[in-house]
Amino acid sequence: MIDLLTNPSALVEFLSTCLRLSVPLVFAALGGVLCERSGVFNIALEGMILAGAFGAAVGAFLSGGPAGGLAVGILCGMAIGAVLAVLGISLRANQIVVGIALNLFVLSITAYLARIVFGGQANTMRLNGFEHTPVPLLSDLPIIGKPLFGQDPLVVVMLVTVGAVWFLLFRTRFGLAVRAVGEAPGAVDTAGLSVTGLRYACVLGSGALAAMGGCYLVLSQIYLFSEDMSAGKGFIALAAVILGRWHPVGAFLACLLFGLFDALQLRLQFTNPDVPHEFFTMLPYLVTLVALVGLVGRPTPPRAIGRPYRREGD
Amino acid sequence: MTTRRSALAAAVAGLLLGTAMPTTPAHADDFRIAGVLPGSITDQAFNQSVYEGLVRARDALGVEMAFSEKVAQADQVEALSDYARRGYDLVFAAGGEFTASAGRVARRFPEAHLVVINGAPTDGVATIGYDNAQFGYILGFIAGHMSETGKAALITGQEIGAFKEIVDGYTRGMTAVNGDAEVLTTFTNDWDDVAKAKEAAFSQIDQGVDVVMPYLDNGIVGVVQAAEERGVWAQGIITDLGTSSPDANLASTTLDFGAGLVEAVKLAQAGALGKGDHRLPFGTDAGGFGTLNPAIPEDVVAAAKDIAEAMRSGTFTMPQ
Repeated sequence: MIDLLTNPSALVEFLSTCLRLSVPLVFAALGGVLCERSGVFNIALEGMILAGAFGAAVGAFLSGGPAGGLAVGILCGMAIGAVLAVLGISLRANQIVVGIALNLFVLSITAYLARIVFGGQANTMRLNGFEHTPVPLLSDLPIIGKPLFGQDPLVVVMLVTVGAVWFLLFRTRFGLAVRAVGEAPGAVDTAGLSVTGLRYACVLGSGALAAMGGCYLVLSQIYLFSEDMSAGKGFIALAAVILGRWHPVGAFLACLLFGLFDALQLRLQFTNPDVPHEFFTMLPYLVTLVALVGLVGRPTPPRAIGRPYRREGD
Repeated sequence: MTTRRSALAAAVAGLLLGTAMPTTPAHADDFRIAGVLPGSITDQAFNQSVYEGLVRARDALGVEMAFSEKVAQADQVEALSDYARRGYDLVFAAGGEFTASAGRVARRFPEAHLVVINGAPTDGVATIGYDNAQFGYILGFIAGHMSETGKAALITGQEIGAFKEIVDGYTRGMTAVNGDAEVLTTFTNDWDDVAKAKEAAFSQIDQGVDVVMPYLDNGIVGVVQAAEERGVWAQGIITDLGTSSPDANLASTTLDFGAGLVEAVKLAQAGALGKGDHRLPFGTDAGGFGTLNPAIPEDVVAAAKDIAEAMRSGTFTMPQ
């Protein structure tokens, strides 16, 4: 472990690993923040990531490039968002149940479709993903330059997106309406804005954002689609939303924290073969738990979350 | 009309349940086998190998076949009981993690013949598997000759018995060549998380490892990609990496669980399978050398083949 402090290149590699492990979480958590701020539970982040990953692979496979992959991936994520919106907002189904059902549905349907689209080459193909394109000047910064700006474009897009979601939520009229609709939809309705419209926009946006996490997995990290490749990241993002107190920057930092400890535990396992590996494997989860309980205090979710709006009250 | 409708209904039910509809003609009805698999049949690894074995048994031996894939730990007992209740002659459970469930099902259905692939010996259940340590030994032996840093790493999901045996054999094989060699392990806690498997491999490579070996399901791809990108060696123990990644593949062995399964079906048809523990040594039709990289010197290959021959004939003793 000492080498991280004494050897700058080991530290750079370590931070790069942290960031690569965090990026899908960050996109999904931002989607979660947007959705839950508007008063809709989004348990389907996991499915949205996976749908995004599948769409990215199909898009890149058919169009031959990462841009097509990103577009199809985002559309797939939005499609899942649309189902959640129709069932959870318009038809007033229990949003948590819908979310769980969507996760199961996406897991199976992507596996099934992947076998049709990619066939036997699914695990050996290499799609054209994003090239590593260092940002001039910024990537030369000591230590943090390479992890943040020396990797691929989606990492930079992620940083910009964190700022954009923050700006959207806290500095625009639309954002004010979104936050209001999550707290007191009746007030928003009284003001003449569409509760349903705002929530639809946020759920669709949430699908697009979470899907970008899946796009990152396929287009920047693995270059192929593999079944269940989201592997629970959506649920960690869900915890990050709470840990970050429904704030985009808070959620971003929570994801980085998780990525940091995940990268750390991979190293620690390896350098301490005598310690049972389970101790290290649980480290990121333990830290998340401790942070949730100890540091953040009582989380206060948006007041109207999970309650479909009825004009006549309920 | 009725037949077409019921065929359609059956096909839909099959799709929904993820279960293949048996298609073999009537003469096969007297012997029926079923497989219960924990993962996906296209994982290019263990599950696929078992599935292909079921298909081979159906085609070559004319038995009727059914399977269930992606069966979660909590559903194991139910999935196995279902086939036992329906009177399948042989029910395969794919993987050591089924051992406890199979034991329970065997107590409830004493006349059922359950076979756990890679299982630990259990009362009332047949277990078939490989002498995992021998496979590990051969790969470790080759890694010991080819590693420049003397550090090799194995990556798996969870700590299961078969993996421990592999690590044990691998370490003995590698240290037999290079007394200072180090064999390290990382657990990703997820057999399918490709991204994490890749990062785990990167992390190992950054710390001086120049031979990595994945023991995963879908996660294998991530480890192999990491090896390709950083220019280190990768080894495969179940699937031959030489066909998919010929440059990074140092040496692979293949564990053809399918062939092992077909052998078990033949034995069972002859009434000779029994309910004991069956272990296949290195170098049979069901498991042995895969592709060896041409960069391995000929004398090393020859030495490895001598060891393999000793294993096959039963004269090999593992150095302590």
